[in-house]
Amino acid sequence: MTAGPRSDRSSGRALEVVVVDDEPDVATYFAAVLERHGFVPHVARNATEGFALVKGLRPDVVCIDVVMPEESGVTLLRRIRDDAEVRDTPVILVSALKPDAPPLGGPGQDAPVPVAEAYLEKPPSREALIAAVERAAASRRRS
Amino acid sequence: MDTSAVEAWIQSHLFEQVPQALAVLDREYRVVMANQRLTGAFGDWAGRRCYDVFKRRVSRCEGCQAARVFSDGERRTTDEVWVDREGRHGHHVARLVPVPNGDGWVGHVVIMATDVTERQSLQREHQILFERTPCYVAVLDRQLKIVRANELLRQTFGDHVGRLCHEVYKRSAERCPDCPALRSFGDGRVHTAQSAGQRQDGSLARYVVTTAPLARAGEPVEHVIEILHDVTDVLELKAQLVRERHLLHSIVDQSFDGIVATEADGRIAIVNPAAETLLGVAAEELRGSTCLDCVYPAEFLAVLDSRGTSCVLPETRIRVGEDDIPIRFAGVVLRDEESLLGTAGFLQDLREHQRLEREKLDAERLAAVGQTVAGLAHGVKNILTGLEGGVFLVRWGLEDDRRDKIQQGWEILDRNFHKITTFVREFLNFAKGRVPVVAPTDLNQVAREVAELYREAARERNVEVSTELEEGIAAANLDAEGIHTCLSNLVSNAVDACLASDRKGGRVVLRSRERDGCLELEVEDDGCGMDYEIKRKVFTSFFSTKGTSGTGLGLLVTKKVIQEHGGTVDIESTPGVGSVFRIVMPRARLPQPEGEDGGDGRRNGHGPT
Repeated sequence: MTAGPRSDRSSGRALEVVVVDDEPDVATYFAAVLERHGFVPHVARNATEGFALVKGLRPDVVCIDVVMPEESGVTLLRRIRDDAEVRDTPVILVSALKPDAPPLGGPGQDAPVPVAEAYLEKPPSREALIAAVERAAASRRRS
Repeated sequence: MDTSAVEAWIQSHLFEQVPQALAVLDREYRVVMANQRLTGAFGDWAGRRCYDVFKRRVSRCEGCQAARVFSDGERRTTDEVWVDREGRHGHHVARLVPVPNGDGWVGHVVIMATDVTERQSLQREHQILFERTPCYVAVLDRQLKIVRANELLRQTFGDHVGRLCHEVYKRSAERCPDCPALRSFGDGRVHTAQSAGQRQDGSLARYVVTTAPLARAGEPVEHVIEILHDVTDVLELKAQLVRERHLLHSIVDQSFDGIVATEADGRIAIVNPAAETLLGVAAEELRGSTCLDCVYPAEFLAVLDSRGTSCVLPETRIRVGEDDIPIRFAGVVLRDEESLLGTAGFLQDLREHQRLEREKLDAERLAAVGQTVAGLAHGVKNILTGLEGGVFLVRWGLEDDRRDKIQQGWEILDRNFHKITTFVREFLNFAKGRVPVVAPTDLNQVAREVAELYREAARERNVEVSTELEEGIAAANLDAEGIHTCLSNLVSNAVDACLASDRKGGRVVLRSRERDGCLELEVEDDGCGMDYEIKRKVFTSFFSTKGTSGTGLGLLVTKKVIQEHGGTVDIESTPGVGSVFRIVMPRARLPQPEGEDGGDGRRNGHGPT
């Protein structure tokens, strides 16, 4: 089931994905699946590390775990959307929380949750993960 | 009888023996003779003029009466104010009698004076009494005409001397049907009657009338003194009192709370219907009895014995027949200085209240179970994701013959197998639950033990664990081991939060206090803190932010134990600043020690085990 390298059709460059998850096993798993499907994964263990990677690498897609200690995934998403350089980066939020649970835009939020390109419930199937990343990357290319 | 002896006595003694002060004046107004009584009152008189002796004057008085007696030889009586040897003024009635010689020429005048000072002061007192008595006082003649009226009567009705009494008091031309004045005129006795009338301003008035004859016994009554006491205000107050009393009775009777009161002699006076129901005794059986322990809890009787004044018992028990009923009680002891006036007690049946409270606790516990089950999914999902990742990597390694992937995958599998083993064990412990052992417990003792447990290990990592425990918190019904577990979880989390912070070192404070009947425990740290999303989730799922090191069960267990104590756990937290976890347990909701509560569902919230 090895796939060939995924690349930007226009440049031929392999697509880079940043995975932000405080759970190392989950991060490793996502990275392995992405690598197996031809993406170039980069792993960050928290929001601060993740934001630095996004700024430094300008990846094609970012996968962010919602619930992390200190800064949450939603906060990281907000920082990305507030940054002029990287605000167009496609973001996929991943969490065991239901999509309508409060931190994702339900009642009780202090500030509106910025829009992510996709939302995946944990644990996502490999197919769902790859499909979401591909769709997100495509949305970036279209825009 | 030898009249010459009498004449001799009169000549030698009468001058001294008459009960009057006697002086003889010559035409120069010099006192030439005086008796002992006069000397006693006015002092040495020899050679002095009368005006000097009686009035301390240096010249003759204006309108001198003695001068007239000297000139016309007529006797005279005059009222005089004289000054005695002590300088006191006194009233005297002086009789001036001429002593003529053979041809009618008056050579001397005899003054015979009677001291009426006392009589005059009595008259003045009588006058004041008559005028100033706070009643209407009038003297009536036989026609019932007012002959004299006192000040109050004149002020209230105007000066009506000469008018008929019923015209004045009642504005009526008719005599009163049961006129007491007429009766006093008739039988010479004192009579009293009640009467209604109209004041000058037209307002209605009610009087108590007393009449007394002004005559000596046996003589015909020419005048009657009539005293009217205006009792309008008193009667109005009395009517008001009756209304108030009626209102008070209605309130007492209609009250949902039992109300009991005793008189000064300790006898039970009031037992309202709610108290009858609560105490299960008819009011008739209790009223008049002195069985205070039938109606008051023992604590209030102790207050009464120790001369206390009041007592509020949020929860106590009272013996009713075979049962001990939980009640809320407030009692007051009414005292006037030292003497007891009575007592009153308010009793509220707490049985229904306690049943509702128990139902509420059960509902909360069921809700906690629901949250726990929902939270399980999260914990399991995280481990499953890890296992799936491990399997994926091992398969990839096998398919592509990549040993590095097999190695990586195997490590993940190994770690997650270990994790799920721990998780399942902890979960089984949580689900089974240990039976809480509730006993009177010193909260501070538990807190101190937990702080000791973590102090050394934390210090090695530069985290200071300290305590701030309020002294004098009374022992409370707690599951000591459960509370120990809760505090251990919170302190352990707090130390981890300090280690996760960017700053070096950290501080964890464990506090205890009691406020408004609630036991409070606080664990504060200056660690990494939490943001909104994490705060929301922390107690509602198997939630861990500690990567591989936690199962997420600690705070769930904490919440469960605290809920079993009828309490709550709250968090205040700011990312980068720190967190405070606060446990609040109202004393009134704490569980009863084993055997006192009937062992109902309160501590078996998780069903059969």
